[in-house]
Amino acid sequence: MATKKSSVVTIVLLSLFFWGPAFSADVPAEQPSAGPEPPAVPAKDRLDFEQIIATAKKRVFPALVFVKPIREEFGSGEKRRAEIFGSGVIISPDGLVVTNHHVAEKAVEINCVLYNKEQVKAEIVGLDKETDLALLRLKLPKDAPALPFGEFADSDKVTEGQFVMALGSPFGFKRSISLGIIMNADRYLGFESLHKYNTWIQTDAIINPGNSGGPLVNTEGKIVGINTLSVMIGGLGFSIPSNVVKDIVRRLQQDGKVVRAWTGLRLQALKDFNSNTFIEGDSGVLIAGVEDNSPAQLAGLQAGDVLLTVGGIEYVGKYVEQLPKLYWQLADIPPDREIDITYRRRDQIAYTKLSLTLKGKFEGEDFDCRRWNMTVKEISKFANPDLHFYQQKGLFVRAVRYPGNAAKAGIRRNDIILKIGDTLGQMKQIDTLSDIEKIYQQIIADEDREKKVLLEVLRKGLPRLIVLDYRKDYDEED
Amino acid sequence: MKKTSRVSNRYRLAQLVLCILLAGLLLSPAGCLWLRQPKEALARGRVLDGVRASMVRARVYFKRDIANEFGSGEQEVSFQERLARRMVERKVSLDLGGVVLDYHGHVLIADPETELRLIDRIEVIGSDGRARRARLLTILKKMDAAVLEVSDPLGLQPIAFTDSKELEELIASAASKAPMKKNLPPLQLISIYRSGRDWHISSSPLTSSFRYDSADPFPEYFLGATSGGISAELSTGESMGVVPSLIADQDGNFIGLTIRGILDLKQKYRIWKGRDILDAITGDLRADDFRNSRQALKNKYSQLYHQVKIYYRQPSEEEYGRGPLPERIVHGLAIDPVTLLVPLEMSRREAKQIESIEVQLNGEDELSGRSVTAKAADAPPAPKSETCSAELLGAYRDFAAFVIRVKDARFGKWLDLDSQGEISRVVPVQTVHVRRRFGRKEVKVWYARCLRETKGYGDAVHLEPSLPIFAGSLLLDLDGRLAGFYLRQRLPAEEQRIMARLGPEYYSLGQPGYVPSGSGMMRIFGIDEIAPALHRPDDAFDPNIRPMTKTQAKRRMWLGIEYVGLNRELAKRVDLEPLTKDGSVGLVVSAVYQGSPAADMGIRPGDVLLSIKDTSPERKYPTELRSSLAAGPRGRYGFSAAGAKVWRSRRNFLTEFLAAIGQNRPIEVSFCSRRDADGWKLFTKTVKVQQAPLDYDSAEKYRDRPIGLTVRDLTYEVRQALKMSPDAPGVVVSKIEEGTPAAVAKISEGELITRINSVDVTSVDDFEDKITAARQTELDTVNIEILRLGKTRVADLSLSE
Repeated sequence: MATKKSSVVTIVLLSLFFWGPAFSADVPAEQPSAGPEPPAVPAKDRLDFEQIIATAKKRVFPALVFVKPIREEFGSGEKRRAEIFGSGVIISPDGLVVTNHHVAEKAVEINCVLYNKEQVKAEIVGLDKETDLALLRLKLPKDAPALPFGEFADSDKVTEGQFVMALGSPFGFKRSISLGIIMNADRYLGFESLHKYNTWIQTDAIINPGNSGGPLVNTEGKIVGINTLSVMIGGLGFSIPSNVVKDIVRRLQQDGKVVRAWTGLRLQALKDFNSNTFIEGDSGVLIAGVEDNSPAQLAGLQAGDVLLTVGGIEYVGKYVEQLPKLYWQLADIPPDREIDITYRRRDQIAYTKLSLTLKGKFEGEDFDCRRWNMTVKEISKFANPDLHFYQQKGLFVRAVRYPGNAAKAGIRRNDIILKIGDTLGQMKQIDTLSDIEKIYQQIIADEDREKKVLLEVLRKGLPRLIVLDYRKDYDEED
Repeated sequence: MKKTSRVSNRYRLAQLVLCILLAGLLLSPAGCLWLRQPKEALARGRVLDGVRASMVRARVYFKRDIANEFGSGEQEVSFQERLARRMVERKVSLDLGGVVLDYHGHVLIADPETELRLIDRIEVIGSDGRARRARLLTILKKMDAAVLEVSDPLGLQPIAFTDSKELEELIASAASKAPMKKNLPPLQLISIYRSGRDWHISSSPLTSSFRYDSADPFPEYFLGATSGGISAELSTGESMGVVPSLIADQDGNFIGLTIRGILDLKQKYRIWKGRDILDAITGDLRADDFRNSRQALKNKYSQLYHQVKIYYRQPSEEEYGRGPLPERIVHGLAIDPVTLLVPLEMSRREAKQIESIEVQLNGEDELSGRSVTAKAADAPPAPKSETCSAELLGAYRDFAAFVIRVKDARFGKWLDLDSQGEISRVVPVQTVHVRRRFGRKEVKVWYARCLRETKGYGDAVHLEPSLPIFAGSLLLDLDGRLAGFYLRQRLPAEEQRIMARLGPEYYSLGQPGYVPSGSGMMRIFGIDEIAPALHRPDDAFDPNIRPMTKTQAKRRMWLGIEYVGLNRELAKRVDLEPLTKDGSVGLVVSAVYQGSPAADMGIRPGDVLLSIKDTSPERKYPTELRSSLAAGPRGRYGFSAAGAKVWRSRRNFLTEFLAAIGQNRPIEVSFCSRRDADGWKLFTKTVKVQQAPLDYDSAEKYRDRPIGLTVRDLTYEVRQALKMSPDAPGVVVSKIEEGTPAAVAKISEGELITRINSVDVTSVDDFEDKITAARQTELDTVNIEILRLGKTRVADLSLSE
């Protein structure tokens, strides 16, 4: 389905739409009708809110961590450090902490503040961008006592209406608790690239920036999810279900990353209400598209086919909520092994064999061409599909610092760098990050040369030459 | 007493000798001169004093409120109107010097050429300081002067004119072509003029000049012209014409009058002799007669001119930057029963966009089959406004005029083009200009004088009117015969030159009839110049200016490239400074389309286009392709980074420029290319301007209202941008309407629909067929495959009505 805008934006719009009715003006309270008294609820069945909160607080609150990473970012045209904050939860007595990937990514240093107001450094054990999870380990002294830790609940047992609490540090207000209910236990958010391996727990427990990475806790004081996304205006939040977290944590602990297979398949539910597209059948999942040069394409699968079984397992993708699980299953198939596929094309059942490959990194690495005042990044077909359409292997300009040499020369964000050189005929092809690193260092190190360099870039698919004049050193200026 | 006699004898002798010496001295040339001087001075002084009573000041008062004379916000083309408006707004009167001609109160002034409707009153103030009312009596034909009749001539002393024998002899001898025997007699010019607040009478000697390049030394004898004191200045700072000057010989005799100090000795163009001027008072163009004849002309031409309304198609979205073209109202002159000549601009871009033309018929015209009005014998002409449709036949190449032919109607009256009126110097030529004003057709008849010649295009010499006249005016001689038109001269390859100069700004010039600067000048076209073109339009029309249908108008000419501009820094770096004039000239090719003229010429990406030359003989120089021209028209046709519409509009400077040159015209393209390490080599190839294949804007399209989308065929630039082969299937979505099944299916502009129900869609016709076929079956949805930047997805489209 079309997701030019990410579904989070769609959700923002949705929430805006429902803004009005949420704020109905002073409506005089109705007089209670003079009916018979409702039967009394036995004390043991009454939900004592304070009791609920006390339980959660006792069991998980001490495991809550205020995470303060210092991250290196390239988004402003130069490598820059920024301190951000988020939340995390200790899940083992020896200091493993779960938080979000977008909290811990590109961190050069992480500090965590514990329940006892001690600040401890943490190191990254593993990162998974696609599920937005990260695993840290607190660097405790050798004889540190065991830490309080949270336990995971079974997120499959979570249902709408249950009370939950979100623990975290919204806007930096450390160690806050908010209360809400499960609005929806199986929310599909329609991301096309990231976050497509799980459905979400939607809650109205207030989740704000700073809550990211913190736990969503049920009335038993167990973690049902890790808070990740929110729609701030609407007061809704989304958490990653704990079963997903458990699995990812295990894999991060084991390998430091999550290895996935890549099929090149884009799936669509048989009954897709977003685009009003409905395919007959109770089992199978619609193949919406097949990437170029992908294992699925090599296996002969086409858009419009209905994938029925993979490796003998029936794939049911009737509704959107079922898709993430299918993606997960596909990603877990060991690569470099042929697997049997059955599919249906135009009422004909067909068979083929699929040989998957490793998915590889989701996004490319960054490099700061400091003197040129721009940052470049490898093109990744997952993270930059539109650029990948023009150049399968190469680098693009991630950001251009303003004021800066690249900006003055007319280089723009998303320009794809093809060649660098001094004059035509001496241009060097730039394919990888190491190519540009080498050339950049070489050029910068040469003090005697003329401080101008010629670049050939691809902009909107058309090449052009730009002369980059870097005589001015903007670092000295500041 | 004998002693004294001897002394007195000697004394007497001495006296005699002295007298003889003195006489000798006095009679010598130096002496003569000395003797003469006081006489001349006396003469001058006497002369000036004597004419005081014969020189007057004339004052032209303009109406205080001319709001009714001009529409509000009206464009004042006429210099007269502009000047008059300025004078009216500042409530300044026009001061003119005048000379009294006779005892009947006739005063000669320089012709102000101001329309009478703007004048409130004229006053003449004599040397006695008394102001007298005056009115315009006569417009002189062979002098750019007018005669006023003063109501109360008492106190005004006329000049007594005589002939100058010397001059007469000189003229006679000149006629015989014998070498000049006599010197030109010294003459004086006496004039009255205002300097500051005071009026002065001054005299100055005449300088003389002869024609250098003519055997006939006296065709015109210019004197002192407009140097010092002869021109009357107004407080507005405009030097308004000149004053009449009396011509006097060295004896103080007045022999004639001149305007602007020009003495046309043989009176070929201008009369100056006193008696001839006096004869002209009654003989020349009487103002009253002129008024009547003007009215007759107005009536005549009101019937001959027809109002023409031109409706334009609105430019498409991609031409948004220019804004909508309003309808245009012009007037055309009937030159035969079905043809109108409109003496105004019609540009190529306007002509392309003509949707329809409507001609309003006059009383005597006929719609096919019936007469427009029933003609009762003495019924007043009731202008029943019937209209008929017309088409543009063409526009002339050499002058700004175009021709319209009506359908299903015949004009009752038309102008015979074979009349041969003539435009001469000084003699007033009548001007006819028709325009729409205050809701009706206004025919304005006035006159202008051509006093001098000017150099026009290619050193051609043309008569120039002394005051500018309305563009498109008809020119008639004093007998009412058609003598010419006042039109803008069109220069060869004009549109190309202007485009190359103005660049992308040219696109924002949207008003019909607009003439960008750099176009040819307005000038007089004699009827002998125009008539051949009017009789044989096929040779005289500009082949590029013609109406087109909507689809034709969208077609472009192409070379087949995408390009970007160059700059100095880049030119230096790639060693192109010499060839590209430091990077100011040159379009760097970033893509070449398959099968295009550029591909045939061997142009490759990375080459730099330098110039294009239209090889027609009038275009001696190539047009340089300046880098700034790559900026492109400012249109809404951009594309966002997140959009699927990643191709550029094919409307750019180059395609527009080639269209201005014209289809099939041969051109020379100069470009430089780096084929190998040797460096840049210059190439010049000749090719014909070719029509481009259909592109996104002109592609075949199909709009399905119930589904709510419009699809277009995949054209060459879209295919290239999306890296699709020429035969890859698909149609591109160009419009999605909100709230329709297409919008629900989340299709967006720029995406491609490649399959319907698992069958490839090859064209919009195929798309339409498939949809129609699907509608005929029981199904109410079709399943489509959508392609967006290499990624496919599948959706259902509801077909419901």
